[in-house]
Amino acid sequence: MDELLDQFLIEGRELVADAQSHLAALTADPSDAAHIDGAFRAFHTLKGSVGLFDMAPAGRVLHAGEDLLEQARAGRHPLDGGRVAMLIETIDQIDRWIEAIESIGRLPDDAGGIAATLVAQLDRTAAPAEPAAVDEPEPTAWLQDLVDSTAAIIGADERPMLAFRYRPDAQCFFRGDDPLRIATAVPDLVALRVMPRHHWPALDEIAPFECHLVVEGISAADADAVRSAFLTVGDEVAIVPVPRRVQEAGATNGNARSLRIDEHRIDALADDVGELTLVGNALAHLSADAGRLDGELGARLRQVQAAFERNLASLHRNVTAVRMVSLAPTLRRLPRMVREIAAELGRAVSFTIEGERSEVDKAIADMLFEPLLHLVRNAIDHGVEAPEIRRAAGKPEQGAVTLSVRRDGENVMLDLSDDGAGMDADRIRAAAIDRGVIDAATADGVDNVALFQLVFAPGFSTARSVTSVSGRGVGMDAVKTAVEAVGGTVSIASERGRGTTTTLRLPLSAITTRLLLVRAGGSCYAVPFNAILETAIIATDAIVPIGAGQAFVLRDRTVPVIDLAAVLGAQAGAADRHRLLVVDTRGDRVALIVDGFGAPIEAMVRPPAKLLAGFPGIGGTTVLGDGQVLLVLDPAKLVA
Amino acid sequence: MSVVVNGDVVRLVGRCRVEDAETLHAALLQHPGLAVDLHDCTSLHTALVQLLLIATPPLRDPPQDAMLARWLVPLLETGGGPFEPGPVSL
Repeated sequence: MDELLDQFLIEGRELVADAQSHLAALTADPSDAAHIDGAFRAFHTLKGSVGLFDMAPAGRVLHAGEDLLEQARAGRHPLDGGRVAMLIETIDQIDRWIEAIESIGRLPDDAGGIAATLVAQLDRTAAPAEPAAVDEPEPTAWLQDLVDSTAAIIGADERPMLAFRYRPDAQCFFRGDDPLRIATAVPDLVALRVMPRHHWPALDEIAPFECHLVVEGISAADADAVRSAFLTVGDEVAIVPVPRRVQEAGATNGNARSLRIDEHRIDALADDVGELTLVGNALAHLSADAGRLDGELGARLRQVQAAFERNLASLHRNVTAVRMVSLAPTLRRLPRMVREIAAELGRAVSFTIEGERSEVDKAIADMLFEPLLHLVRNAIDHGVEAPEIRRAAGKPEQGAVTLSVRRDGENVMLDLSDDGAGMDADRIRAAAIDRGVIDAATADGVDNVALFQLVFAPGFSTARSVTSVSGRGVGMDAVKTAVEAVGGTVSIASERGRGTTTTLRLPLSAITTRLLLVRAGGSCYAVPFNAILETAIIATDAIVPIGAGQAFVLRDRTVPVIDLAAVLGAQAGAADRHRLLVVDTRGDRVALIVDGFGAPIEAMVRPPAKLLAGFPGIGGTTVLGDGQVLLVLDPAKLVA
Repeated sequence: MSVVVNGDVVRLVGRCRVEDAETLHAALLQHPGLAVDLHDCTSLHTALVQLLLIATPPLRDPPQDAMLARWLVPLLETGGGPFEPGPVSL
């Protein structure tokens, strides 16, 4: 995909999330200057970003929103709850449009109409333009632009500053004005720029006595001194203080020290570390071999190998650390979803996120959104009651859904709570029996805590009516599968009439194992890389019977050969060449015949489930990205 | 005369007032690509600066006059800025 677009999809989302969090804060206090500033900056930057793409309706909507925030910022027209809600609706729409750009590469056909409606609504709530601003459609968008473009010049200068914009009349030369003479005489001039009022005319089209320029500048002098410099042309000049926060934002933008790196590069780095693990395994064996021939050489090789392992471990930790990302961008997408779901279901819901600062492995941040969205849907659809029912139950009409995030050792815990109806134990018991999730005799002996966990069982759903929101065929079992695939757990607690809390416990870093997929006897298996010494392809007749078994010679050493399919009780394939996986079984080499090699993968290996526990040679199971469950072989046990 | 076309260079000399804009305009149109010498210029009206910003001729020799040079040189070099004016010398 286009690199510029890729960048926009990342940064655009961040800006949307940024705007949303400022607007969420403004919902509580519409006069908070810091958040007004923050929201304004996000709108302004977004407007600039969407301008690079075919998103004109988005630009118009953002411009109208920016105007509203600008008026609040200048203190001309304070925000109120209604206007903040309008702005939230605006930014939610931008979010949807960014999604559309990502999925279908363009804005939907109705974008123009939606934009017109939003702009009209925003304009209606805006203050009427001041007389002085008639000739100036963007009163202080220029200020932001000026501050942005002079950030490098202003730098770390912390003096309070004034910005001026001097728009001389086209006929001013005839009146004897010399605008640059006036502007350059402003005391303590920090920065200056001269721009065409619209665009520069061609040299052969310009009337030499017509003024076409605008002068903008920043001065560290006080307001009286700056004003007196423009005394004779006061009505053509706007002088405004440079907002402190904007100044700071400009300064930090200029000195950003972090890099944005394509995640595939990090994955490639992690892959290389995996390859090095293989080299390390081989080196360990080599030093053991060498030690048998020459003790001193073996000892020296072992030292080198130990140093290699230490450095490799450190490299692994560092690569893991690079993959740690904040949960905030994932979580900040939720409030908009909550608003949409609540609106669709006719529920009044307030949604709060507490403590979103935790950092987790990127793989976990990436997988988290879908399960959380499902849980949030459930909380609103099955948890929070309709307003009239809540009123009758003596609860506030607006339901509260809270997501709290906290760190617990090497785990991050996410609690999603609602203050809704809670779970009905009898109904769940009946449904579980009815759907064959549990038999009637067992169900009677199960307490509520254990009973509630049954909602995560495959095929369990007690929704009375299928709504477009919850009834998507993705049950709570999908949540459980996704969470367990990264080594997490999910549990649920509920109190009748008081609400439900679902808890996700996720590891901070995905503890993955590098696995090689192999085919044998018509099935696919995974083998941990750290057990593999090498792979080889040999002619069938290179394998010779030795005693009861068979073997082949690999670099002057006889290696026993075992047919993996036969060991696993499947039909051994016939071929004139064999693919061999040479594995380490407690110091001895054994070659396993396989039908073929698949791709290397990084995955969580879970201990074998009870059913498999008695079966030797199975080290555990792993879930592939597509939900397929694979058996992970433990070669040492397999051939024991 | 404040605007002098002299061989391969347009020289701006002394105090260049608004009325010199027409002469400079004609000179820039007649001799496109000719360099502009500001060495002896002591003040330059906005109307002339505007023409230099539009025509962007090659510049030769900055003004000796420090008060003029402190803003005119960076302004023309950056094609309008933003720029940081040089220090005010007293």
